[in-house]
This record gives sequence, C-alpha cells and structure tokens, in this order.
Amino acid sequence: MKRLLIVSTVLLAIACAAVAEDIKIEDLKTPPSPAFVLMGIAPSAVERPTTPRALGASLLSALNDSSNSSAPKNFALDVAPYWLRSHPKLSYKQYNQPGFGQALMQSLSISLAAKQQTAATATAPATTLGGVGVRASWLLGKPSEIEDQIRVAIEEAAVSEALKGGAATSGPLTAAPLISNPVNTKLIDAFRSARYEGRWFIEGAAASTALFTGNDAEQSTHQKSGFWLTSSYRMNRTSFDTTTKTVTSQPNIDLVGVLRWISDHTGTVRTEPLDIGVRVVWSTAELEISAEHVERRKSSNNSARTAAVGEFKLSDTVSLTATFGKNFKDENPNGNLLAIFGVHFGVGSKPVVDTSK
Amino acid sequence: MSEVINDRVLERNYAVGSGAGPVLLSVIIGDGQIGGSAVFIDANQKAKGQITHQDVGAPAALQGHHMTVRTVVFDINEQTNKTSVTYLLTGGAGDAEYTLWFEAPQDKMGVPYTALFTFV
Repeated sequence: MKRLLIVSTVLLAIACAAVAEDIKIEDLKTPPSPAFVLMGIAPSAVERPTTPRALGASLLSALNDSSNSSAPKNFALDVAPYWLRSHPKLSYKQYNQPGFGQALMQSLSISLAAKQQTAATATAPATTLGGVGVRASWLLGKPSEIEDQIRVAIEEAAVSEALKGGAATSGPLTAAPLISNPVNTKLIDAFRSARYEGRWFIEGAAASTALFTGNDAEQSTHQKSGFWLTSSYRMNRTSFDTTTKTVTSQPNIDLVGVLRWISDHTGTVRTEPLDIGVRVVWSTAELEISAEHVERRKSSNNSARTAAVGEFKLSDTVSLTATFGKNFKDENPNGNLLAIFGVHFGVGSKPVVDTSK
Repeated sequence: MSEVINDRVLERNYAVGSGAGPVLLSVIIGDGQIGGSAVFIDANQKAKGQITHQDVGAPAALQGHHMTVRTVVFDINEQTNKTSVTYLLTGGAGDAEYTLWFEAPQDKMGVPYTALFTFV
C-alpha cells in the first residue's frame, strides 16, 4: 500500500512536471526541519546551508518506519518570519553582503516537525515524536566577478524594459504587463548560482525533540537536543560572456562539512555524541546527487553513517528525495538500513498561503 | 511625507516651491532585488540606470511639467517574490517618499512599476 502511494505521488508529480521547466530544484526546496535531523529521517545528515523562503512544508516517509499505514507520517513546516512582509529599504548589496545581525534576521527560520514513531496496537498507544528547530545562516566573502557581471547584465535588461514604456501619456496610469521570458530567466538562474560561487556559507542550527505517548500533550518525554554548524563552499563553475551576454553553466559542485553536538536522552544513560561529517554535492537544475559520511563519536556505541542522496525536481512545487545507505547503529531500533523517500512541497514560489496581506 | 502602497502605479503632485536648489530623485529597489529605471521629463529621457540623487531640474523650470519614472525589478531574490520601489524626491517645498510594492505571481519575473509626478 505504501508503495502504491509513492507510485501515485510520483505519477501525479510527473504530470505536473510537463508544464514546469523554469524552476530549479535549488529554488524549490526548503531543507528538512533541523528536528528531522535529530529524528534520523532527514534525507541528508549534512544539509547544505540554504536561504529559506517565507513558508516551506515537507512530507517524508522512511521505508523502515514501524507503522503499517500508507500515508507519510513525517511532516515539517518551516517559517522564515523576515520574508512574511516586504522590506523596501533592503537593497541588493545589503542582502548579499549582510552584517551578522542582518544575516541572522533574513535567514532565520523556525520549524515544527512531527513523526509517528509507533502505531497504536492492542496493548500500546501510538507514540509521536515532535520537534522544534531553528536555523540561520551567513554568506561570507565578496561577490565573484562573474556575479557582478551577470548582475550588471540583469540591470541593463531592466533598463531596456523600462525604456520600452516611454513617458506616460495623459489619463489614468495602467500597470504594464509583468515580464517573463526565457532569456531573463536563464540569467537569473545563473546569477543565483553564481552568488554562492567562491564564497563560504555558514549555518547554525538547533533542534529539540520529545516523545508523546498516546498522542497526549501531557505525556511527553524529552528525547534529544542538539546544535550544529554547517559550512559549505561552492566551486567556481560559471562563465559569462559580457559581449554576447551568454552564460555557460556547469553543474554545481558544493563541499559541505558539519560539526554537530547532540544530547541524547533516549537510552537509559544520557549520551552526548559528537558528529563530524562531510558531503559532496553535484547538482544541475533538475537533479542533485550527493554522497556523505558522518562519524559519530563520544557515544557508547560509536558508529558512522554513509549514504547516497538523490533529489529530483518533478514540478515547480514538488521535488522527490531518496536516501539509501547505512545509518548510525543507535538511530533506529528497527535496523541501520537507511531508506528514506520524501516529497517536498515548496509553497514559497507559488504561495498557497497568501503572505502579501 | 511618506506613503507605502501595494500597487505598481503611482500618480502624485510634487510641490517644487521657489527654492534655488535642484530637485533630486532617488529610486531605491528593495527586498534584495535588482532592476533599473528610466526617467522622463515630459516626453524627453532625462536619465536611466540606477537613479541616485539624480538632478532632474531647477524648481522654477520644472513647474507645470511631468516626470515619468519607469522601473523594472527582476525577482532575483530566491527567498521572496516580493518586489518594491521607493521614490525619494527632495529639493522642492518638502521631501516626499513613496513606496510601491508588489508580489510577483511567479518566481524570476520582471515587475514593471510606473510613477508619474506632476510638478506644481
């Protein structure tokens, strides 16, 4: 039944993909809630720092979930409060090279996550893991020469469009049509990617989870808390011809590292494992493939997680993620096979919730 | 004077007064987006590009004329589809600040704004 649901979701999303060609996977996804990392169901344990949209939602289904239900039982909702309203005084330069305080405000996201841990049986009530997470990031360094060149090209395209309108004639003003053309879209895609090239992107995250028995808010026990630092570096891969205004983009290659401290209360004795991990990410507009390895130390059961992660954009609002590999020994009582299938719904690009009011 | 309006067009009068100093225009593109502008006095192009403290003329010479400011903002900010333009006018009888904002219905769109000022 679970497979049937997954296949149905894939077919539905592929149908949507027929009309979705101009949104990159990078634009679409909000990374899973930090709480998902502590729950052991995040597609990757070494998530690349990102820039969250105002709202994001995730559904994830781990194939080794103990429940027999067909529906995904893992949900997360992310909110980036800063982007819920307009910021008319925020120039691109302030946005792109923020001070620490501004970086914190514009990248802060708060998320809530829930995972059904066990289904109800004749003798035991259902248990649910709930979690809360926060994260914020800081893009360091100066923009690359390529980014500056593409920015100038976009500004020139804007001026060219503005000049087309000419002086306003008498009578009530009418709004000019919105502009959407593939040339500008390609420039913007390249610009967004080039923005990270040759720069360090640092993210801090924290999360805490609790186990609720019988879905009763009064019956909760603290499970895990943790905080971590992630850093990534994108290699320079884009080139731009200033004469012809054409971009030559190669697939992105990102190098990511994480240092994570966890306070684990799930065993009889509290442990405080330290995770040190690395990840290499290769990505195009529609596809992202990565490999990661995380060593867990200072725990009673030192182990490692090694995984391959694939993500595929199906439509402007839906991406699929799949993770296979070996998990930490103590992460899941049902075994250390890592098999996670996820569907991500990005509600930021075409908001389901109107954030303009 | 300051106004914030959820729209893409603006029509206002600007009192130039009788001062000697030039009327200056700045166009600020907000929400971390980028774009460019074209400025016309009546039918004549006055300036284009990034408009910062642009001298648009002496108060006495501007009286009775119109200034059109067309700005296109491209949604390059991956964190929001919101776009905004703020017009700052100084050097007249007083300072004026008008902000227009609009949320693009799709990512990466170009959002045109038009402001028409009549100098009185």
